[in-house]
Amino acid sequence: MSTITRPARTARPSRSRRFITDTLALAGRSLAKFRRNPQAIVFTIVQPVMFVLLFRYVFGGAIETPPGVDYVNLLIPGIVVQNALFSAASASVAISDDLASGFTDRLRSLPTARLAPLTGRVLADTLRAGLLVVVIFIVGLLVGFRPEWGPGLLVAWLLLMVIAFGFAWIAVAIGVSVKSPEVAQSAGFIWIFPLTFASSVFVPVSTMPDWLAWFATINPVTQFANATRGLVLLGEVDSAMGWTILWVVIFAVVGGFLSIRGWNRMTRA
Amino acid sequence: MSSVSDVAVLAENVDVVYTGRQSSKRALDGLNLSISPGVVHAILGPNGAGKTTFIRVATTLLIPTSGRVSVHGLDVVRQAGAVRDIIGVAGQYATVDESLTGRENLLLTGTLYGLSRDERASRAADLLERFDLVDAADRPTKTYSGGMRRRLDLAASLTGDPQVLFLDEPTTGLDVRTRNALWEEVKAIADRGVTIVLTTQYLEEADALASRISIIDAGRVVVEGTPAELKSTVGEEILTLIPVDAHLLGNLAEAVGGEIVDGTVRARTKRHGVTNVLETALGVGPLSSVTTTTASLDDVFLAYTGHIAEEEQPPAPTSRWGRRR
Repeated sequence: MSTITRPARTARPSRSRRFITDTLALAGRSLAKFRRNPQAIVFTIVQPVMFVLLFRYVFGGAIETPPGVDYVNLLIPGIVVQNALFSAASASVAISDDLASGFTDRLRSLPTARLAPLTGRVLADTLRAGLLVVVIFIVGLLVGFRPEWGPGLLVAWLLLMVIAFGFAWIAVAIGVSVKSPEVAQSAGFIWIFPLTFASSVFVPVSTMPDWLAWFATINPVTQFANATRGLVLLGEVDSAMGWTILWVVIFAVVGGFLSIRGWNRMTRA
Repeated sequence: MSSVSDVAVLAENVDVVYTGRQSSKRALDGLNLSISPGVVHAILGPNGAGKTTFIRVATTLLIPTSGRVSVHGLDVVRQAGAVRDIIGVAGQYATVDESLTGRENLLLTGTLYGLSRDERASRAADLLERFDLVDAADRPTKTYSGGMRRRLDLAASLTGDPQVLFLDEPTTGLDVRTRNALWEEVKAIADRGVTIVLTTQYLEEADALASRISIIDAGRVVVEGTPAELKSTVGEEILTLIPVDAHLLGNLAEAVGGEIVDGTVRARTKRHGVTNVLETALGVGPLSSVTTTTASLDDVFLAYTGHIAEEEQPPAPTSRWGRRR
């Protein structure tokens, strides 16, 4: 008897088409959320600027660098890596917030492409990382950072977004598995500090005690920082690039697997 | 099996058991429900009765432990995608994005329903008009009042032009005026032929909106009927009689067709039957006490669920683990 007249709808887009449309729509929503939250913008920008200034002017003088290399030139490529990770890590809180507020329930009761809420978030945080990297780069130039101008910079920029992409999947996996945004807040960020400080981001690994130097050497963040430095300072592909790609693939695959598994489990009682 | 058009929502022997680390909780316990197309069907029950769990199952958010739910013949587990195309959901927690404007929220929902750019723009404009949100359309929803958010939430739930609309406690936490305004909106939606499945803990709400009411408790339907049918139980007087001679309790109960409760005889009768009952009772022997009480909708509720219908008491926000009751 169904007397309801269906709206004249254009032909249903294909599955893959809808996945792309929905991912873009939800990424746009996440970016709008960021753009319209002045506090978030200020915090996101002030924090790395503070790090740049602290390490450039407070600690920098005490940190020994190879002869002929200015500390600020080592610092900036390191800090952009750290902040690409920070940007990616915010996915855990955002995912958790949406789950807690019921927004995710709404998305899941709509004919939304199944994984678009996750891929949309990852895309948004990847792009945000790209933006943040540009901001830090400019601040770096203001405090004396002198890169090797050339295509290496563009490659480095893309590489940093790829790194953010890989880490965002880890963050999403954390977001779907913790029970509240508060937990996501700490669980999502806490690992970034040991990982970035026990790496070549701020200090040369050779100054660390042996056991820590060992960790710092295999630490993916060291590989990321070294790969970025190769591109930015010399316009060269460093040997760290191979490890960087490998780590990113591992993070994306493991994070992606855990994210999707957690996501699909939510429909279970 | 019933044909697609006979039944809008069909639940057959639905069990949902939440398994926690230490304990498990049975939220739905053999729930059976059949909702006809084009009606407003209220699911009435106290907190924890399983109302929200049922809505989560019917809207594809939760896979039942056993049993089957279908919407217009489409299975909510195996054909979840097709079900999502024909349903709308609005809830207790207006799930709109706070940083987006009202219009942007509707456009986003339209995109996710697969509408084209033009379709979603015109749909959003229509809905903003219909729900009296035109002036606020381009303001972020964080500036909206509670009532405006619910209206936007309701508008968003209609973006895909659903055949079945699920409203999970739509007026919980709203003041009376806003609630009444929302009722009018719900009635207007129903007038367009949309099937509405409404959960509520307010008898008044079920009575005002629904043409059928299922009272559920502890995860199953305990009674179902039209408001009039349920109210026919309500038009009763309950007489509590105490005979002077306690030995006559049995005789008295038998004579008036009542039952013995704590040394008293309780008899139910239609309102105009009170004097008849009293005459019959006095025929058995003198009475030391007579009390009469009028049954209300609350009594019906109490009689069937064993609880008083609960006062407004917003439960904790939705849990992603589906443990919200």
